[in-house]
Amino acid sequence: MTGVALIVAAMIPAGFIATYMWRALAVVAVTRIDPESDLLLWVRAVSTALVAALVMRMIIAPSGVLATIAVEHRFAAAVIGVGVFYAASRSTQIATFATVFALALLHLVLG
Amino acid sequence: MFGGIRAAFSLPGLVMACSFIGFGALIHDVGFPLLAGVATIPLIWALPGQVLFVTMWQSGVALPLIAAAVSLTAVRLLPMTIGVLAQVRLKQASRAPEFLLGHFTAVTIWVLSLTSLHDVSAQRKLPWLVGLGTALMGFMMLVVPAGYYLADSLPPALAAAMVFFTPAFFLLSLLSGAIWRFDYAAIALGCVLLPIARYYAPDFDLLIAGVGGGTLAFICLRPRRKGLLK
Repeated sequence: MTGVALIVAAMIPAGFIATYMWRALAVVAVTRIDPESDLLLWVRAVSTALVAALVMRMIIAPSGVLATIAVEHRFAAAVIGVGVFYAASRSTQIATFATVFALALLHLVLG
Repeated sequence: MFGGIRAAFSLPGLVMACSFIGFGALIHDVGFPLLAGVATIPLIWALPGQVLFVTMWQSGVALPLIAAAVSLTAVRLLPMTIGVLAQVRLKQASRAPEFLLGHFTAVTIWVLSLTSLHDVSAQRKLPWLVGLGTALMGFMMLVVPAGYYLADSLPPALAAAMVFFTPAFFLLSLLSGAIWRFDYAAIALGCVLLPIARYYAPDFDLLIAGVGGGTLAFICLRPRRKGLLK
């Protein structure tokens, strides 16, 4: 239990405050801030690239059970998912299920 | 408010639940305690930040670096929150409920605010979204333990497929939120720079790929056409 308490205590500055500060700033500044100012567009780009990098890290260097699936299958499933996204008129829902289904199928069929 | 609660069980809510099942499987997989994993839901409430916190914590990264990475993924919540608030806020109303709604704002609420608010009257929009946020948060706090225990009992291939829900949902949400060419460039550069950054500086891989890739995308393809976020 002490382990959990320590993690939650660390999560308050490094998780809660780190995240909520942007939401609170949005509420404070909603009447004054331009969401398309250069600063915020740069911030949008960094945030987008960071999440993309996180996805890439889960594909090329996953920890644990994802590592039991071949890296080329993880890659192929992601590419198939993007293909389905555009084929299914940009449906995040359909494409998310298709990606996971493709990964399971590739692994089961090709080992 | 009750309409919003019902909307939590729509298709976007179910995809979100699958991603959180994946998150539950992920925390089981990396050996993060379940209760602390559930605590990331009310405290962080943005899955990329939650995944970062859990994986960086488990690899022993220093807390200030974790805070920086989590905070950088959360910056995208600022324009998103402004976008949601702009649709629901009333000029004379008290500001306090807006801070509550801000805490609930994340990609699923943003999507549902764009698609489901048309039939809700102006005074009811904010309570509708707060109801949606509360229901989604409670729903996900139940779903994560389910994923955690499923990962324990399922064959590894199925558990791996479950974990994959999370990155799949991130990648496709990024594509679905992309408006300008620099959005696509930032996605591509983040993907391409990650392995390079990982090779030279494994502890800073996400920060280098994120800040470097994002900055490069912004400098090369800064948008001229505006007015698309309002």
